[in-house]
Amino acid sequence: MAIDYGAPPLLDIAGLHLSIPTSGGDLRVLRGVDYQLWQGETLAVVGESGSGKSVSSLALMGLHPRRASVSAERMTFDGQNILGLSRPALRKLRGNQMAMIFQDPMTSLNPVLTIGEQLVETYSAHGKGSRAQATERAIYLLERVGIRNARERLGQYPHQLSGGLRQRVVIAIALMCNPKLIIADEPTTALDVTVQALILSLLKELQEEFGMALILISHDIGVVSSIADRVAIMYAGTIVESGGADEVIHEPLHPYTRGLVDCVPRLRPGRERKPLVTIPGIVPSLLGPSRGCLFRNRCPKALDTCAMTDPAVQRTASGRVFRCIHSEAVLHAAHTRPADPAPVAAGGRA
Amino acid sequence: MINYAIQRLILAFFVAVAVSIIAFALLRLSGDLAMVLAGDGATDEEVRQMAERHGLDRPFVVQYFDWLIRMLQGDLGTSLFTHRPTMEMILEAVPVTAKIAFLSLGAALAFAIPLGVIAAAYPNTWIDRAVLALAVAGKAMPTFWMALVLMYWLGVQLRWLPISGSATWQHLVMPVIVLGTSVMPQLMRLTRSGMLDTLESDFIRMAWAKGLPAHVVFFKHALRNAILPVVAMSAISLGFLLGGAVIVEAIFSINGIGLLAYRSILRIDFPVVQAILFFLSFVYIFLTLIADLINAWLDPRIKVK
Repeated sequence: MAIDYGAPPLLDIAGLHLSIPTSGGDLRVLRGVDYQLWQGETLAVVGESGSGKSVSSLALMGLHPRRASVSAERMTFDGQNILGLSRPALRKLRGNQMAMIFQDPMTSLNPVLTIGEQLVETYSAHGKGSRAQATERAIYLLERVGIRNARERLGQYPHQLSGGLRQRVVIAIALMCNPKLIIADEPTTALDVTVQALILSLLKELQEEFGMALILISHDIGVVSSIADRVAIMYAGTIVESGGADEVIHEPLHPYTRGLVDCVPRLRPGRERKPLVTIPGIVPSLLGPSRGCLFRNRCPKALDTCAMTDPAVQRTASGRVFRCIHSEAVLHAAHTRPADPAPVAAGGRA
Repeated sequence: MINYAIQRLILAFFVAVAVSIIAFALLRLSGDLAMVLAGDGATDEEVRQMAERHGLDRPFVVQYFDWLIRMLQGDLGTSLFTHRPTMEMILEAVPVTAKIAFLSLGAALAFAIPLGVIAAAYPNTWIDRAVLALAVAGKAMPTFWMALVLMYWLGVQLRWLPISGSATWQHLVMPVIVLGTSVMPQLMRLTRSGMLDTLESDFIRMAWAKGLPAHVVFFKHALRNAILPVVAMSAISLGFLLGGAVIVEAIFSINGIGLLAYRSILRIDFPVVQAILFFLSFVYIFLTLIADLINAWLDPRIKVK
């Protein structure tokens, strides 16, 4: 399905801030997140634990911790401002227009309710139709996500299903109301490697079939490279780089993106073994306000001036966006090292 | 489910046998019954005759099996004081005690569960603290004191309720308030902590993400998971109410099982004491069995284990 980038975006977020008051001061988890997402598009949000990638999507659905305070310059979904939305209005959007797939299928299904009940109740809660209609749709979707004997499965409990099957059920639940947007928060992290690829390709297939927008949250840039249209790299509560998936992964501009790409181990039988690459240092504390680039302590390209001013948001000719003190040309030259093959080229985008 | 029920039933049977032996032995070990029955200053001959008359001179095992066989035939012995069949006396006392016990538990749960859910929905707010204060007050008030205060206030001053006996439903109101208040706090605290644990789980976050209304998330998704320990606790509370309401029954002059037990102990009416002991043990075992079955019905995973 072709994405119409001329149309207004389905999701438009600018300057999203979120902070949680703690005894040690405000924990500023999101420090100005901007992204846009179009109908039918897949955006991968990539970052380390604590970068704010999950929190930003929870804030989108109004599922962030109640004591957190959220502000944004702009936060619209399907042309509607969702920032100041009342609880009941947000509830009507959740599960209906925007659905979420959580990380661990072993714990995200209620152990005491049948699979069928958990599918049907979403449909009924949004007044989509009768119970009989809901049951029919549940069976259709279970079959569509690759579960055989769907009718019998409806009466089963989560503990009677394997992890892979449970994640398929969670996906079917997300699809019950035919949402415009699905947020998948590390949907394959808790699964066996053999099942991961199946679930990812299923998601991609369903997205194209139903024409939904998909936000795929992951810590693994290798996993998302094959199915995302665009990638947003998050670090310490901001997006440090975003752009087309191919470009960002093959020619990263921001030093952090470069580090992430280099960290992906490559399996090439017969080749010499290289030591695993890491990014030195740890994610900075998010307590309180800060000045300068938050990546500077781990950055190989850091200058003294990085501590003085916040890095400017720069936009390249091809529409990529990055936050760094260096210019595109400088970063480009710095990263182009001879005899270094493009990472994750093998098995990249089909 | 059937297999699980049979398994539990067999287990309950063995527990009942074990309890009957231990309780039988404890009563025999509490002192020489024949000496106590013969009274102060009795001669050795009188004590020997007393032992012979009640079969206390026979070996313990013989006494136990004699008692067991007669019990299985529905004969729990005869009261030494009233000379009536023990079974008859117990059956007379059970209905009023059972009525009060079930009403008290029902009332306690009717308050404990909603309050526990509300406290968990607003943790560490003034609502939570108010509910906690209520629980502490309920637990801290001794039952005899509360019974006397209610008697004086509702019975003597306002003359709304009768203060003694068990003839009409009005007679049961004050005992139910007192006993309900004494078991409510623990059930409420258990509901609250169970709810707090459950509300943290991933499937609750998922339920919110599905756009379900709050009452569905709390009562259908969370409470069913949180209620399991409350069910087990209810069985124990009910056992306590059926057997341990001695003080309340005495204050309100209710001829229930608690008062019968208390009087029989004072009269050294050992066949009655023994029968009540077994009756209450079996009630406990039965209630625990019921609680296990309810939990298995609530949580499908239990049947598998």
